[in-house]
Amino acid sequence: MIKRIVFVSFIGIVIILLTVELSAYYFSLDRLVVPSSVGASNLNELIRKNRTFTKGIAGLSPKGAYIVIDTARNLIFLKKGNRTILRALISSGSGNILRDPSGKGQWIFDTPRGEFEVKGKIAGPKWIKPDWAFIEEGEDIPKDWEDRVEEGVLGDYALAFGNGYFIHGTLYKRLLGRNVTHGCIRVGDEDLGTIYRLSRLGTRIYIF
Amino acid sequence: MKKTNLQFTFPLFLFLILFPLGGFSQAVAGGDSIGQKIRALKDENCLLEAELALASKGTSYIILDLRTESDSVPVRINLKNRGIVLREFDVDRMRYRRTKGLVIEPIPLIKKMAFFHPKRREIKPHKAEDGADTISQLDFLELKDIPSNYTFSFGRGLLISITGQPKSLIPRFVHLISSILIHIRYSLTIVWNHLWKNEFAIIEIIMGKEEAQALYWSLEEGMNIVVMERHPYDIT
Repeated sequence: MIKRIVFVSFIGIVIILLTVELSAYYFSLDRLVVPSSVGASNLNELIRKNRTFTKGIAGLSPKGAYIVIDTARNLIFLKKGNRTILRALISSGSGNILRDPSGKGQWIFDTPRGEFEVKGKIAGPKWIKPDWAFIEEGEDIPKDWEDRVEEGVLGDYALAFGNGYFIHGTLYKRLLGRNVTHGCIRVGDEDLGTIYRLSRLGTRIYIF
Repeated sequence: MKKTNLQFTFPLFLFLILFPLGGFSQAVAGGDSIGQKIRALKDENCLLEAELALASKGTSYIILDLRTESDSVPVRINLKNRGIVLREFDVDRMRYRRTKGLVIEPIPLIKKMAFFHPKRREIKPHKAEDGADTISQLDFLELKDIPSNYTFSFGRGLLISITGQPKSLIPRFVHLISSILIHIRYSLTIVWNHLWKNEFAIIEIIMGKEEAQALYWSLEEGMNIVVMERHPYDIT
């Protein structure tokens, strides 16, 4: 008796699931469409619009070299059109949070995403340590500006792309490929040299 | 009363239900070939117009062109900005169902839904001890912390369910069971939305685990997608 009930219940569930599946399949079927007959002038108009849109999109893409940064895989690409000139490992933002002990706010160490452009090129950059760098290390924030300057940590070159973010070198080459920075992009020396050399002010940077 | 031999009649019953499915999958193309070209061009223009609007803004957007679905040309999810492809995400398998045809226009990503969302770590300020290896103490978000099974909820009733397929055997088996359950759930949702005449579309995508994680990482809420369907008369 119990076996029969279980078996019938099982059949019932299967039938219900099959019905649901068939219904979903039927409801999502494309309907028959009979395109209306139209003249050649409409076709020409459509072709003209197609060319306009295609040209419009092509006109928006960067002319010359541009930089693409993939923060998921920690890769940087230097490209021109569809051609990749350089591909290299980077380190990007950790996404970690640092709270200001004074309670004034917090810092979130994300690499910003979107479209940017090279706003500055610096050879031999020096790091002017911001407040969070002292807070993170449990140190007091210095009153003198000169006490913030640290040399040699940003590598040979830096490319600024706005709001205090840079593409720069690094001492921590074994961390390339990992999300460890405070938002900036760290690149190995040799690759950074190539990027610095082939970029100019206004070179577009796409970060995702 | 004669006992029914269920072991024989049940498979026959299933066969009688499933066989007509082969007929449902055939749709007859209508209209002349010029009409088809014009329709294809109109759809192409809609896609280009939508993309031009997004490309002009300078924010990243997604193009999902389902017309390319075939054995030789797989579907790819394209992340783009200003008309250039930033990243192509490979799709292993895909299933697309909807109650009404999707309008070819930008649809915003409203929410990323997953069982476990990656959490940010909070840095505890501390003095670095002399000679201590600070590098090994680093704790940060990595791709392996990102979910590989999740759903993107877009506007206009569009859901894109992503399943990152693991490589080893037992996780694959677990993944198969969960895929079946997810599929049944969405079948019920299709029926429900059809009955209530709601706009609803579900694209179920299976891709590699790391690709799925990278896709979750790369797409942000607020980003727009344009989905280009395969047109009815393309079905053979």
